[in-house]
Amino acid sequence: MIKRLPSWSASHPFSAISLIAALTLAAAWMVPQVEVSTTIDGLMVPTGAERERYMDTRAKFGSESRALIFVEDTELFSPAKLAALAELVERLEVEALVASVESLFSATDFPPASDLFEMPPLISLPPEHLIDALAVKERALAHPILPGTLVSRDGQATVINLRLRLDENNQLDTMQACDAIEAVIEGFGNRFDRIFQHGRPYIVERQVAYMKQDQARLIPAAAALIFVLLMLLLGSFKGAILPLITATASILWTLAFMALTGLPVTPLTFMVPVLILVIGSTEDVHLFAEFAQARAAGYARDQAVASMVNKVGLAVVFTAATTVTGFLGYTFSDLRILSQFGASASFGLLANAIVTLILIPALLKVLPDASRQPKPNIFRSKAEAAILASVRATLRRPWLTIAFIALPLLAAGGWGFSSVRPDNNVLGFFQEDSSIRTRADHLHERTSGIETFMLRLDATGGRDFRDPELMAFASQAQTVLETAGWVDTTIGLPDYIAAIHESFGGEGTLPTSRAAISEYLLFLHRSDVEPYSTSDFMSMAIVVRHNLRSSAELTPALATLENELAQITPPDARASFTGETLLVNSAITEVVRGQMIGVGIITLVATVLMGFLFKSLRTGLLAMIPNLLPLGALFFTMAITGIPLNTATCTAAAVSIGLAVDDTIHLFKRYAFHRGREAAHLAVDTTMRELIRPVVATTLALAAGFLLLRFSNFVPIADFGLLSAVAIFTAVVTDLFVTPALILVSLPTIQPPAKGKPHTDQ
Amino acid sequence: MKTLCTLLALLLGGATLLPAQTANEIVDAQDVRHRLANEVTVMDLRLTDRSGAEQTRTLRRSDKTGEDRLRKSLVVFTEPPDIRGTALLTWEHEGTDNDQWLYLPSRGRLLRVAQGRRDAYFMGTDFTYEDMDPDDLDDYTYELAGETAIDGATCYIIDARPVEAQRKRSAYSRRRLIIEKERLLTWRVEFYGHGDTLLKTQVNGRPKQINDTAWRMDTAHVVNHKDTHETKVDIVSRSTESTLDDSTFSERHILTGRYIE
Repeated sequence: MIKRLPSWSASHPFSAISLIAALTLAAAWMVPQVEVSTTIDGLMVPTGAERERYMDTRAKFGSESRALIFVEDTELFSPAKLAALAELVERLEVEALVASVESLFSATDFPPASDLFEMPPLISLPPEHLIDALAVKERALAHPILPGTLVSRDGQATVINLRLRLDENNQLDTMQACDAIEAVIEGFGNRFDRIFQHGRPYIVERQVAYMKQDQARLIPAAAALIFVLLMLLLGSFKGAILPLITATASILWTLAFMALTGLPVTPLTFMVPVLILVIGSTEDVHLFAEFAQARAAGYARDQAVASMVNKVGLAVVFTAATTVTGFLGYTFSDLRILSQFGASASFGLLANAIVTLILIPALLKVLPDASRQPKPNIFRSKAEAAILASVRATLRRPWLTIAFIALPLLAAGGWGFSSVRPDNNVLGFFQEDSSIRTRADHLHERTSGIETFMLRLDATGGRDFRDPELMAFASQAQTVLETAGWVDTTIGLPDYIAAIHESFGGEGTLPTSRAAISEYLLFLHRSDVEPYSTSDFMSMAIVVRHNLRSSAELTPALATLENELAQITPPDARASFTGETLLVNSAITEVVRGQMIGVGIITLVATVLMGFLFKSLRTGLLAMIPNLLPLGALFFTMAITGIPLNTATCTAAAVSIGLAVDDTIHLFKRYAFHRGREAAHLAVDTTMRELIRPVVATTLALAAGFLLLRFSNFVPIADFGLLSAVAIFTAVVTDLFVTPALILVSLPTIQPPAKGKPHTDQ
Repeated sequence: MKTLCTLLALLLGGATLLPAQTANEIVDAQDVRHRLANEVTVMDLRLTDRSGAEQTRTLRRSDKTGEDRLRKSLVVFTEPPDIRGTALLTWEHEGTDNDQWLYLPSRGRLLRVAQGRRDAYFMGTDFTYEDMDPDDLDDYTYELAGETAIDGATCYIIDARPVEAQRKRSAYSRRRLIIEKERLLTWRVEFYGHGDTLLKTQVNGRPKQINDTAWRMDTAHVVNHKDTHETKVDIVSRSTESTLDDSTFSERHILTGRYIE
């Protein structure tokens, strides 16, 4: 049915335009309902034992992710600054979304052993005199837990941790929390040398801001770029504006689809409009180029539209199918962020194909058509002639051409593939100079890394962690972590028990009797130890803070720790790592799987489609060669630039194949068309002469459009843009040189798809 | 009033219908009315955390008020077995800080509790050491803030603020007391921090008449808003008839182990 659309549109242009306009208006009305989601959940595999353990840990100990406020001042421990700090804490405590505040003012002091039982708060009220403030500083720096966690080791910076009352998956709440915190700390900006917030609300707020900024910059830039490029390459205002019209309609359709199906705008789906603009323009270009050629050949407008529909209508359907398939594969990913991207992008490109097939013939029939032929462009003509000359020259030795291009790409791709480093981490989404990264780095330098996970310890026998042996094991486990070299700090119940034990002048690091541990626990309010122990003491959590962000580094580091922990774990205890960042880290296998599935599906579908199109599986397989070769350039680029395989870059390979196949289909179809009337060499020559312009135009538009993504605020998106551009640019080389060479050496007798109708594609 | 101490030691007395009174007079009358010379109470504590997990503890509290109107008290944990014998001894003094000593069986000696610990939580409950101290009425200024009704009974609303000398030593900027007019029973206490934020709310219940004048509340429910935690107190038994010997409140009594019998 879909291939009849352009014919219907050509014969009913006003109905077609009205239909698209009505649907687009309806879609525009729904656009405001699209939700935004920046939850980390989308980067994790939603099911499985690891996920269950994390959810259980979160239910027992609370989420390890919080909001935090970093305060730095060379005179931090002075009466004036401590008074300001106290005021800040009080202001935060009354914020509706703040459940509790952990600060120097909530910390318990553990003074050295004496005849006095004394575990007072470190500071109750800000001291009035410098000597008292300095005494507080001395106690804070001598504290067994605070240095490196709540206070910097030089006493010039402190951290305020906020536990928030919010559903972490509720975007609005989380952003409101960020705004509320920002509003509070704004008033203290001139009272400290430096003050800023970090943590989940800040990351979510920045993510949304970056997405909005990207959309505000990249969509207009992509539109302008496509317009200028097509103006230059096609020499026609109409040829340049038509892709923007169809893209606008299909972007609105896609956003309406997202609103209807609950697909949110995420750090991946937000680039779908740009992709529609860039990728969607290729079909318009092929259609318009055909129309322009027919007009230039002297066809009347109606005839030119009919010729366009006949010659490239079906090819556009097939190329759209392969492009959509390139994205559709990701819909089945277990990673929500990938499946949402796959669904919205494949719908968007399908919508674009439909809009294009309906709207372009209709618009070409009704829009003014003053100029029958584009104005001559010396540069364009010369470039076209030069490329054609090169193609002709290489076709004299087709095997050599194939070997000359294919072998280096295969070698580079093989080496690159073996060097690709999978990596999936939340902070890796942001540019190195973004405030999220620079603040995280500063926190790491002054206190502890912002990256956290938990070591979950469970008692599995009759004993609980009040047993001195199990408590000692927990403490040993902390030592193992802290001596790993990459862990900044660990905090757990053993720290508190050890501190109280020392305050009582006990021997050794930890008490050796269950009674003593139980008595010490009486001095801790449940809120003090809630993040570290269940109330029955059967499970404990050691909170680990570090700055190791790359999964490529974290995975082996954790494996080493697991081995070391296994050696000290008693038979009636169990130790395991859990946490959001680890779940994101573990999802890397899903990312790799996603890449393999994506490439597999698009290769299979494209092969079958082309096999069907040319009624020969051999033809289908051969046609895939020039489309798979660009992966060599893609993997090579990944290897030499250090771009990791992540949730965004894992889609580049399949997307590139899906796009590269488009030109191959056009080339094979056109060759089949001419082969029905000419000898193989002549048919190839005619095909190349006719298609160089649209193929080069679409490639340059695609490559430039993808390169535009380099300016994204999100690193994986920027990397995706570069890789796609490299692959697509390579694809045009293989399509222009390898494809005709392959046709000549392997398929000189290729048959047109429709028997008895050598003059038409349909 | 100071929560647990107040709950156990003071109040709840019958209501002499007094002429218009100042807040100080009301609180003073309450103190006098519900004072008992000797009292031994066994109570269950139920502590509930953010996740709903509960811990239970049982303690025995002995109070003796001397002729000088100064109190001595001994709190001993009896359950669970892990903490059995842990004790807190308090001596009230006139005009100076009260003395508190802590006894941990595993340490085997009494430790004096430093005054700086007054705003720390007492043994994991939502009461602080400050709450455990008997109130010295001179340490506070009382202000009648209005009247309200609880279950049909008219109540005074009284704000108790620490005097300047005590302000820095107290975790609270004020406590709002809801005291029933008729029996001078404290039904509710709200605790406010130094930023005047509501830290805790204590609701007392199940009033029980002890003698002609004195009453006690047999339940208290403290909701700790700051740390999302709750403490529920249920009186299991109460004895006010036997006379407690002064030696009950001595170091020797504890160190010889007799306090646990």
